[in-house]
Amino acid sequence: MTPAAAPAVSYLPLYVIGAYFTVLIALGVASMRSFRGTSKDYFTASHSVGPVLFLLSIFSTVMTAFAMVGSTAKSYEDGIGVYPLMASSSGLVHSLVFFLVGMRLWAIGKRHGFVTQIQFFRDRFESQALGTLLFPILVLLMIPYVLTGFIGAGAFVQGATRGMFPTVFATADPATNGAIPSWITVLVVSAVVLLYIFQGGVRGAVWANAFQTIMFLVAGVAAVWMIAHSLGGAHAASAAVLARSPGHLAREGKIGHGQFLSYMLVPLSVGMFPHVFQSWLTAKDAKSFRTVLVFHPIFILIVWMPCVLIGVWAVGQGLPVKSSNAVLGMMTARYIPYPMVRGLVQAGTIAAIMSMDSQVMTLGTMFTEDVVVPLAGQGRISDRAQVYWSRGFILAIMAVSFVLSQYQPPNVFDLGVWCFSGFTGLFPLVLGALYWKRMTTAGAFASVLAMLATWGVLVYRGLIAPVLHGVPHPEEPLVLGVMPVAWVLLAASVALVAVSLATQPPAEATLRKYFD
Amino acid sequence: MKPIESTKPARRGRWMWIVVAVFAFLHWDFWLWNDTTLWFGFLPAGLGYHALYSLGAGLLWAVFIVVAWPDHLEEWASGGPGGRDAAEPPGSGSGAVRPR
Repeated sequence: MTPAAAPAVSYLPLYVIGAYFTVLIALGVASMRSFRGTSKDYFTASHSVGPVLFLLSIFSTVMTAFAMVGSTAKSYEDGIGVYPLMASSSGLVHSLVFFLVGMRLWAIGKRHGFVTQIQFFRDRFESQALGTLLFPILVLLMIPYVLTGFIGAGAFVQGATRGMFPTVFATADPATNGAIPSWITVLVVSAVVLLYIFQGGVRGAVWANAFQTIMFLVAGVAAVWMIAHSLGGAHAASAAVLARSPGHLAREGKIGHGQFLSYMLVPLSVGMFPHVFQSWLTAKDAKSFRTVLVFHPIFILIVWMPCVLIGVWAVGQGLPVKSSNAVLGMMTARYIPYPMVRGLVQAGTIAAIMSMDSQVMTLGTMFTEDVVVPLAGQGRISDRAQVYWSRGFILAIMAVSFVLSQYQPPNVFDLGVWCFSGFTGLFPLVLGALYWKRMTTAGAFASVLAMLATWGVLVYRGLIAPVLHGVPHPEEPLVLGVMPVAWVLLAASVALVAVSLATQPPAEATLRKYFD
Repeated sequence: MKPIESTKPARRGRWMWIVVAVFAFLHWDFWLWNDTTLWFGFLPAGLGYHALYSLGAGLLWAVFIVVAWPDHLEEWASGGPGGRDAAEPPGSGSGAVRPR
């Protein structure tokens, strides 16, 4: 089957996306009206977010470019197996972690006034040094996550605007000729994100995230519906894949059983995402978690299913793809014929990509609370100064991510999985801290260092070294048939248990604070 | 004065953890590994099964909430120095730990 002719060039989608950005900035300004003028409100929205807003904002914080751009790209490469690898497993595991870890951390954060993860770990293990060790590790793991948003935004818009500006952005490659270059997209997206989070802090991010969730839930369903219609119906779209590459409709030869089972560990990472921790703190009460537990798996279905279908259907159409990251943008541009609808769908996709707002917001909070205030001394920095320090660090992180995004971008999905694997390696730390009285400070250090060493070696072997040797999209580096995340988690868990049992238990007063 | 509740997990509904474990095992649909059947003429079997699995996960947690919800956690959360939604900033009385 030959690809259908692309619809005539229309600039209307860009105006729709511009209008969407304007709404986001307006939300930031509006949320500022609710700002109570304290850093606690700026960083936790004063624990005031109710169930519906909480559900929408939590969902947005975990559904990023990885979910929309990454899932489409990966299903284009490897077929439908991507959905069970990350989506249905996350539906179960995320809710499990929200229940076991999130609710308890919310309660502890509210009772003791913690604003960041590091404050909790410092207090639980009576160690300032543990926080000092954790901060750079969390930043190190978060930068690739922010980077997936930048890469995803750049690739998506490049795919969506192909042929739109043939004189201004002319290239020799037909896959990118006339398309808006990724660096421009990244700069614009960064500017919009900075504008609305600087206005409203976490409250601004919560409002924006809720709006973004609604946008991308609708966008995914609308996109798959209209693309199916353009391809002659869902039956014809799937039949084309069956004829061209039936392997994309199954998992045999593409995903091993050990790989599949070990992928189930990757979503545990949500328990150590700093931005999710901060979102948990915004909940008004424990009951707010109920809606999240139930609807999170269903929302994942609504977002991921269209993306995976679109990625697989792209295989049946034989698209001229340079980077799989651009598949979603190309499919929406080519197969959604109405410019207004195309613009809305593309704005919805960018909404998911822009969920990086909560990530950078959290990094700013951590820098202020865990580095600046401790160094300056308690009470010696005004609320206003704390907010400025936070904003400065956010700018620095975005600048670093921008520079990194300009190099040969890896597959968003694979980069995301590497990042999540590191966070999963920190999961024993939070689980032990919450549920195991016998866990010691030395055990916590050992676990973090074991995770860092194992993850570092495996990332170098599986991602950095191949890229340095000119392999931009390395295969997933299974170790004895399972994903690296399994080994990272095993090393961190063994170190935690062994060292804890060999060292002195924590003080009784500290244990009473958390386990009574 | 009523004593502040603890953080311990709810005792009731512990059997739900067995249900969660069985449900987790059902994620491994090895019998559909090489199945390219299209349900309803368009939905690959492996994808259809996991779409149902996602819906099942939502249902599972709905049941979990009914039979094993830790009601005491809320009260415990409100019992500490930072639990009364004080407006003071962290680091100046919120109870957050600071270096000496």
